Order: sequence, then structure tokens, then C-alpha cells
Amino acid sequence: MMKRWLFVGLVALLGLGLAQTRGGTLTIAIQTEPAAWDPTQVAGADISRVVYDNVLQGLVKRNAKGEIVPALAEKWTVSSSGLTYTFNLRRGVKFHDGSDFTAADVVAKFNRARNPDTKASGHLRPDLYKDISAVTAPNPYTVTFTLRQPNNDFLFTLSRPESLITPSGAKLEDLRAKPIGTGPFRFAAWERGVAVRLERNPNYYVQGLPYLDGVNFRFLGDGDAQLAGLRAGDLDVIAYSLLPENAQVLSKDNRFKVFSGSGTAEAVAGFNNSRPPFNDVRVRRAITLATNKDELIQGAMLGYGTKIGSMRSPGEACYVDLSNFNAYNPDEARKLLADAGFTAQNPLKFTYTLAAEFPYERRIGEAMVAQLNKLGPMLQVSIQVVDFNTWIQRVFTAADYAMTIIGHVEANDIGNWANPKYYWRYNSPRFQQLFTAYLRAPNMQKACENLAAAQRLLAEDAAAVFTMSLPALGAYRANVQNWPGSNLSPGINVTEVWLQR
Amino acid sequence: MFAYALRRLAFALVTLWLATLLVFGALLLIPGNPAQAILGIDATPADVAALEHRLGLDKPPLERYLNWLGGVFRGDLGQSIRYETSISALILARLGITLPIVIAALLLATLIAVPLGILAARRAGSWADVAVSMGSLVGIVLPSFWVGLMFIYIFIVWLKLPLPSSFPIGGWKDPAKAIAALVLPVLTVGLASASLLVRLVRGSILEALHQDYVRTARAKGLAERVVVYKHALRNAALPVVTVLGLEFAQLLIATVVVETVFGIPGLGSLSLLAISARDYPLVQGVVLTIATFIVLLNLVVDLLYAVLDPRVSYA
Repeated sequence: MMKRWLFVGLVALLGLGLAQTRGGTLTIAIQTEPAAWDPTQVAGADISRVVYDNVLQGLVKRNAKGEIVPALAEKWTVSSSGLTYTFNLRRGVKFHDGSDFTAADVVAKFNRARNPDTKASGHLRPDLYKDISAVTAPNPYTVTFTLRQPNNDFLFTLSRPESLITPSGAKLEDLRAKPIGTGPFRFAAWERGVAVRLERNPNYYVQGLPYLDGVNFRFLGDGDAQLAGLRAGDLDVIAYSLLPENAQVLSKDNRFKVFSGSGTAEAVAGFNNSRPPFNDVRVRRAITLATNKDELIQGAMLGYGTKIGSMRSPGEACYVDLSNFNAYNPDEARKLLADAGFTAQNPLKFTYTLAAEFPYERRIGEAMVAQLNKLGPMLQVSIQVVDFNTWIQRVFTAADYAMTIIGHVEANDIGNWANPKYYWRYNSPRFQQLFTAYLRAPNMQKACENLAAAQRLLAEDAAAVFTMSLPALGAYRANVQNWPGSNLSPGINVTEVWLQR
Repeated sequence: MFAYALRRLAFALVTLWLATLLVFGALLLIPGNPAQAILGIDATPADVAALEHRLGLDKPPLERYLNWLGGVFRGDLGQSIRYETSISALILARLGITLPIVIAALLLATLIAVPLGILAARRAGSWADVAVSMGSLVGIVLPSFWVGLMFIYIFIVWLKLPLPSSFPIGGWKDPAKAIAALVLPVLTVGLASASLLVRLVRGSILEALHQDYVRTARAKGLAERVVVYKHALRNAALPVVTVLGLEFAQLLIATVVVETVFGIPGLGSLSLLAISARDYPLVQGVVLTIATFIVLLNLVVDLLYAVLDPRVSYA
């Protein structure tokens, strides 16, 4: 009897497998074109969206739910001290250039990553790897990391785009234009200004995957051009940043499917915490109380987006819901501004700087300024729109600004608040202490307690107005199957996507 | 004639050099940092310093400019900061898309504007004249990004013509598809240019028709057809040719709006990227290319004058 059921189950599974047709090429619109494609050398969310787990893989990866799962490491063990991590590597894996993937590649990669001399290594963010005291390979399929001190973010760090692994012999400049990895797709070509083309890796180590013959990532910054492309059939998917009004149009048309998943991009309306008026917590709190987040989500984003109250998105580990903390209360806001010495005769005046290139943040920022100016004559906010490069120079590098807004796409990026030199200029010893306590805690429960306290502190301090977690909003043609709608992974993973004919 | 051309050429070289100097100075004045823009907001200051070192951005501006200028004299426009690839190759590839658009659009504009302009001038004040004027006004007033989008909806989404909404991946490797992708952009740009041009043709012809030589020609009994096409048109052609030359140079960049709507990787979008990325050598390369076109076209227009009007001579 048992055997018979097993047989039926097997046939059903096979049937499911057969339903997935192989072949075809998918064309996906993304918004910007990065300067290069190796995330160890150049940072940028769009690099990861294309190459992460499609072309390049690391020891571990973050899946669409944001969980850390095996990639090139089949399994791993952590010593009870939390200081030794041992990874067992997959065997028989080949890089796209034909060379074998072994422990030597991993050792070379992480020695390069932790080299503090960035100019020599060409590797970004050695600070992320500074807790590693040694990386060794006892045999070709085992790698051991020894840490100087426990680090609860270590596995997360290994799942970051900077930790993706390329062949130890490859030249850095070659990898920038044509990354070589172990993923289900090979990097075929980069047509500058147009698209990158990926093609199926015939030697992929998971049998039967990927389903698609190829994937094109087309660079189309204009939201209306994306919409036209999807409707004309030149695009199969708009991967993210679909304009909310276009989402409404497409959701009424059964040839298309609109998806609005959760992501990890917090739209942070940041203050310059280091100088007047925002070095005064009363003023920061007043601005927070004068912001109606529900109205921003409904009005500026037509309901797409999730209300948050601190530097973390729902779906990320150790998330605490603070979305109703310091909730909209204009009377209280006026009282706080009056306490801080602002009146109709002596109003609080400041400039809100917006980067022109980001459609979501720009409309949220404009709507927020309108809300603030409704508070009364004691508050006068003006808008300044600059291009992203000016924003980078003035706001981000020089911190020469009062208030701004930008989406922080990277997951688990609350640690930026522990850096007093980051553009928010938030210098809180208490926060720094909590974040260190999170990193060094002996177990995840204790770690999460500290991270929860850190999230709460940012909300209490009104260190910024954490407006919303931006939606992963996009659309695809109805014949596209298995699209990962919610995406808490850095990559747009197309390994199991297939096209119905 | 030859000495004149030579003098013009020497003058042109100085103009070109001044243009690059001006652009370089302007780029130093506007805020921005190409390395930080490449790395984004998750990179550390040490990462930025390392990238600046690799790209040579840590050298003093004057040294960078002189290095670039030296390269230009050797026929090398240098490397793009953003793409880390040859600027000459980038510009050539983009010209291969923008030039066909501009040439086809101006051809279309001429084919539309000249007959309609003549018609309107000959029947000045008639309903035909009013219709042409109204049409040209609409063409001038409507922004090309809107017209482009409307064309996409009308021709591709509604009429379902087999035209791509953007330049195909692979580009000219599939010539039929690439040409199909340029039909609507050419129509958008061409109609806008025709709208401007038709007013100019009408005005010039109308002016010529009131000249003494036209009255003389008519008085000696020439057919109206000969009067208009042989005498008036030839004289009216001078300002039209001048404007066409200027329009050509301007369109090399001004197509940027249409390129954005139709997802076309042309010279306009390249210059937009170069400026927003603060890719100094790439901006200079593009400016130098376009300035060269302007200078050459001016020269061609001047020489054409001599052909069109025997009284003009550069001896």
C-alpha cells in the first residue's frame, strides 16, 4: 500500500516537473545601469539584482524570504564559542570559465576581502570582514574561518553581495565587465546603455535548472517607457519601481499580473542630527508627529508600501513593530515646536533636499513637505531638488543639509546608525553600545533583544522619520510563471522562473 | 576658396579647444563625485579613495585635462570613468544610432515642410495657409516626449503595428528590427522639425515673391511654376539651408528626450549619462564630437551658399 502511494506521489511530482516548460528568453526591465558587474569592486543595488545567485554565488545566500540558506556550502557548523565556522563545500562545481570551484578559491577570496588595503585588494568594505583572523582550507572541500570575537552578523556578512565568489585566478578588470561565477546563468554580454544578457549555464550543478535559455536585463529608467515596453511585448517583466499609477492601470488588464511584495528598502527621511535645528530631539519629534505616514502611503504611493517606525522592514529578522510610535499628532507637534522656541513670528525654516532620480522617494518627500507646511506659520519647509550626484556630494559626503529622504535598500542596515560619520551624523553612545551588544551576544535570542532595543531607541530619539518600507512593486506578462514577487534577497532570482507557451 | 576654407579650419580648431576648456571648467564647478556616485551610499570613504586612485581621479585637475588633451592630439579620446571603456568606441556606437535618426528626421522634415511651405506662401491667407500654420503651431507646442508616448499607444498598443517600443537588444545585428525601432522616433523628431521648418519656408518664399526680380520674371511672362521653383525657391533656400545645418547639430543632442521615451541608446542619452555621472572625459568627448559637427556643418553651409547664390564668393 505504502509503495503504491509513493508511486502515485512520484508520478504527481514528475507531472509537476513536466508542466514547467524549458527554454525561452525573459526580458526584465531594471531602472539603472551600474558602472560594473562585480559587487566586490563596485557597490549598487542593481548589480546584485542581476548577478546575485543568477551568475555569482557565495557560500550561503539569502532566499526570497530573507532566510540564510546553503549555496556553495552544503552545510556548516559553528563552534560553541562562536569563534570557528567550518563550511563543507559542494563538490563537482565548476566556474563558468571551466575551472573547478574549490576551497582555495574561498580562501583567496576572503583573504582579499579582509585586506585593509583597499587600493591593493580592489575589494570594497574590508571593515565587514575585520573580525576574521584566519581562513584556512584543511582539504579542498572544507573551509574554516576563525574569528577574533563572536559576530552574530557573520553569516549575514557571508550572504552579502560583497561575499560572492569568483575564480581566484581571474583578473579584476575582466570581472568588472564580465563576472565569472558558478550560478545557473553565465554572463553573456553587456551592451552599454541597453542591456546585459545572461545565458543558461549548461553545467549547472542542480539537475534540470534553470528553465530559461536566457535572461535579458534591459535598462529603462523612464516609468512610462517601461509601461509601453510591457504592453508592446518588448518586456516580460518590470522588476521593481513600477509607478503606483501604472500598477493600477496594469492590474485591470488580465494580460498582466501586478505584484507588490515586501522588500528591505526603508524610505528614510533623514535629519542632520549634528546641527540646529535637528540636534534638538523636540524638533525631530515634532517633525515626526507632523508626518502622516498613512496618508503618505495612500496619497503618494496609492496604498503600496508598509508603515514602519524604525530602520527595519517587516520580514527581516528581529523586527519590532514600531509603526505607530510617535504617530501623527499635529497638536503635539505644535506644542513641541513651541517648547523649542518656534512661533509664527520666529518660525522654523529649513530646506528639504530631494534627489531627482528616485521616483518613489521624490513623491513621498514632496507629499511630506506639503504635510509639514500644513502645521501652521511656525513651520516653513522649502524643497530643493538636485541630481543624485549633487546629492551624493552635498548630503551624503559633506552632510551639508537639513533634511532629505532616500531609500536604504540593503537588508540589515541598521548598523549605519552606529557610525557617527554617516550622513545622518547621529552620534548616540547608547545606540553604538546596543549594536555592539547585538553583534557579540552569545545567542540569537540575546542578540535580538539588543537589536529590538536599538530599533526602539531610534524611534524614541526620532533620529529620522522612518516613513515606510518601500514595496517591491512590479508587473509581468501572464505567461511568466514562478516569479518571486516578495523579495528579501539582494537578487532577482530567475533560476526557477519559466515561460508558459 | 581654398585659402578661405583653410582659414576657417584653423579658426575651428581654436573654437573646439576653447569648447573643451569651457566644459572642463564647468564640470569642476558643479558639485559631484564620480567615484562616490559609482559606489553609492553603502561604501566607506576608504572605498571611494581607492576607486578614485584606480580611476586617476586623485590627480590634480590640470594634469587630468592636459593628459586628456595630449590623448586627443594622438587621436585618443581616453577612457570613460563610468564604463572604463574606450570613449571613441562608445561615441561611434551611439552616432551609429543617432545619425540615422537625425538624417532621416531632417529628410522627412524637408519633404514635408518645403511643399507645404510653398503651398502656404503661394496661397497666403487661404484656408490651406491657415491649416498649415495651425498644424505647425500644434507641432511646435506639443512636447516630443508626449507625442512619442502617444505614437507608441496609437501605433503599437492600439493599431498593433509590429514596431518595437524600444531599440532592440543586440542593436544593428538585427537590421530590420533596428530600423523598425527607429520609425516612430524619426516620425516624432521629423514632425517637430517640419513644424519649425514649414514656417521658415513659408516666410522666405513669401518674402522672395515680393522681390523685384520676381516681379520682373512675372512681367516678362514666365510661367508661375518657373517663377516660384526656379527664382523664388532658390533665393528662399539660403535661410532654410542655414537653419537645417543648425538644426542638424542641435538634434544630435536634442534627441535625448525622444531617446528616453523610446529607450534608444543614442548620443543624447550618452551625454545625459556622462553629465549625471560626472564622467568628465566622456562629457568632453561628446562635446568635442558635437562641436566638430557644428563647425563642419557651418563650413558646408557656407560653401553651399556659393553654390546657391553665385554672387557669394570666397575668393
